[in-house]
Amino acid sequence: MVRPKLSILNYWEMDRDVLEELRHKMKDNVTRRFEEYRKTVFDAEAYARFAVSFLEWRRRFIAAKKASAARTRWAKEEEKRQAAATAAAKAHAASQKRNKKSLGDG
Amino acid sequence: MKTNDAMPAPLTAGVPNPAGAPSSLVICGDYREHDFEHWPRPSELDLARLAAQLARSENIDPKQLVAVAWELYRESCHRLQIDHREVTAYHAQMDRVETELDDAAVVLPQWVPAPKKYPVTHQQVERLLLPQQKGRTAERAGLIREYFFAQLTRAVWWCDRNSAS
Repeated sequence: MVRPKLSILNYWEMDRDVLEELRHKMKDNVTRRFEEYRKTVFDAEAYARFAVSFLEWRRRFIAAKKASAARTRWAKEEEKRQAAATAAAKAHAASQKRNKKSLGDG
Repeated sequence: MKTNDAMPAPLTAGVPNPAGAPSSLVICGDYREHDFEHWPRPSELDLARLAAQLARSENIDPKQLVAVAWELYRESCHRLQIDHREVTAYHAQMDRVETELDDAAVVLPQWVPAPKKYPVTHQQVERLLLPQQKGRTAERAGLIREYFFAQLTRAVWWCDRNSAS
């Protein structure tokens, strides 16, 4: 049977592109939810639900952001390292060429 | 259409229905959850058309063609029923995930800052939960909106078209 594979993904597992597409599609829903939130008066249970859920999400959000920044930093450093290694290899090749030439002249 | 004599065993025979309840107790308007007897039938003309489409030459026995057409129809019903069960199972799984996510703790843990009294407004909630963002309304709103977006996308059906099973 040919059926595209269906799976349940969440906010943390999605690719950035998919997330951005969803963000665009759900813009109105988010706005509606935000407006509802601003009208809400929280009793003890509502506050507990919201606070626990929000703080857990925020902790993970900050960790994910830090991890993403570290990945970007590492990628940039790796790029620099590679560029430096290439430049060193080129310089080495050039100096060898010069050495050969000077030996030949001598 | 008198087909009862030639009717094979019901498609659902020996197979529990998707809800897992005894089939005698299930009242459901969706024919795909019922035995084959309750499925819609093709008309005589529909069947004749399908049989005619199968004919490669004029010499083939009409009885044989109609039998093959009937089998095609039955197999299509079977396939639809399997598909219906799979989709129902997916929805049940989705409902379970949603229920689990909604059953969050309602007791305030110690690590969460507690207000002095209830009820509290959204501004008070934000002051308690985001003390570092004091006076930065736009930043606070951005974070809360992102949180709502995360909540809305906490369980999304994802269809991976590259991998067909």
